[in-house]
Amino acid sequence: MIKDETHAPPGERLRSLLCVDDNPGSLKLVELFMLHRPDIRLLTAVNGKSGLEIAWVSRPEVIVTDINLPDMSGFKVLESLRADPATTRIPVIALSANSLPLNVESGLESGFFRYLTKPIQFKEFLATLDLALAHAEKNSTKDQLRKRAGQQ
Amino acid sequence: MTEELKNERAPDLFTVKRGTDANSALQRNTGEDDFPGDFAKLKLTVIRPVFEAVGNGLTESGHQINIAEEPGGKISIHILPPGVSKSIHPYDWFPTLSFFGAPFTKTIGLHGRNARRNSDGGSGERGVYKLPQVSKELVEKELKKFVGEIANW
Repeated sequence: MIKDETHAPPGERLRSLLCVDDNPGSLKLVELFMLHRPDIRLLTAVNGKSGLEIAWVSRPEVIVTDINLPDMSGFKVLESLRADPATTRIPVIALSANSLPLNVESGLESGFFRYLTKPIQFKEFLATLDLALAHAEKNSTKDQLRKRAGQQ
Repeated sequence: MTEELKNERAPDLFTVKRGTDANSALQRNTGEDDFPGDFAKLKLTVIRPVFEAVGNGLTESGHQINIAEEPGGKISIHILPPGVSKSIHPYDWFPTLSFFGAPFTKTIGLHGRNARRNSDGGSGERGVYKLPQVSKELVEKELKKFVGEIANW
């Protein structure tokens, strides 16, 4: 589902966040959080398959995925994103009720940008999102430098 | 080619194959694909020796120590305080300090686990470092701090 009611403030670029979660409550909460961020367009998906399809088509700057999705795990979503050159550098944030340190360690070791535990905390979520956006921006700059260097 | 790109270039095959000078490998700016290799060297040359040295001291004072490493993954030290019987429990059941690599951000995470309730030293993240920041001094300081926190386990 794509909600496009956002407007980037003048001079700022509109960026996209894809949130993959089958829990309507979690999606609603992220939607409410994003009311504070008019510079972000929120895309949502309720399962891994549609999440991947949206990611491949829309190339969001940041992806947040639940770990326990109905059709595949968040780890599988991450693996599929990393396997595709078009999405391999997108920061992916895990969002899960599995909050043991062991879960967090294995999530980060697998390649998630950050591992957030539920219940979602407003400040933590937005701070992590900002870090991920900054990371995406840095990657994008590097890609542009690489392209330019390749052309020379 | 810009300076930034030059710094990011992967090491040449000779450097990778030789791979003996861990310090120089850690001091150079890490490239796109050498994080797993650099983390492996860091475990071998920095983290494990400190775990072993501090662990030997702890063994002399009655602790039981187990150092576990997952190939390509995290390295952990499990500590059984004096007088504690391991019995049939896995080492994971006991206080554990782990360094693990987060490949996407190319950082090293430090996590502590302490399964017993009501004891000092909580579980969770204790630090996030860039590769060159993880020195013998840092590992020793963090390990000793953790041991101090589980003194009354």
